Amino acid sequence: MPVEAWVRRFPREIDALESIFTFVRGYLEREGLKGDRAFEVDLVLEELFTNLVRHNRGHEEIEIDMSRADGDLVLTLRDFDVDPFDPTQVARQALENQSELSPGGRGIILVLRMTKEFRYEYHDRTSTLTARLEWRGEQGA
Amino acid sequence: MFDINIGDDGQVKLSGRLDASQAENAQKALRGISGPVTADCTELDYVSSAGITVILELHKRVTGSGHELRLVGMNPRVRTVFVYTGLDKVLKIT
Repeated sequence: MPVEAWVRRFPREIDALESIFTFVRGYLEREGLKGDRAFEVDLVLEELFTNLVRHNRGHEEIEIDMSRADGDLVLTLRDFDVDPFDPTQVARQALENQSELSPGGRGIILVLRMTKEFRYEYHDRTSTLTARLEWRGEQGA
Repeated sequence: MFDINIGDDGQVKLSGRLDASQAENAQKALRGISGPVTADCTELDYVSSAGITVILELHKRVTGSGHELRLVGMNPRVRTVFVYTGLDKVLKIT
């Protein structure tokens, strides 16, 4: 029987972070994953979500999808009906100019440091950010 | 939940989670401080880039007045955020 997807849409406002963190706890509990890794998941999701809220002039709610693939944790954020904005380009610039980092640049640097893959795609006016975190097969509460 | 306690003697205690939703309140609370500061971070559980921006602004204000900001008692995860952004070389973290 297929495992139910862990997907939810959140209002595009910074105050949605608390609901996002609760959503993360729910997923980690369901998967029996160690709670102490929640710090990294919260951080990556906060940086990506706030990046979308600040840079994309959309009106739709932002979708967050959590799943596992080959033992890794995959975080996918979808922002609907927006113009393209590629934070992976920001990431490259941030890495080249670390001494002059803006707050947004620092957030993207954190995402790069904490993930094994960080990808941007744009189709049908939807921006999709995918971050993959190594989970090292850790189980248990 | 995030909380700041500011003492009369330049002691500041940061507790809880300093994320983007708490950054503005933290900024307001710390705005009046420009003297030497020791920030106790032993109960600071989480910080994001928005949080470190608040701390960096405090650092600039304090050092701009010829004083020092010390961050003490940081747990390893919170410290990692400063290390990954290179700010462990800019801020005095003990």
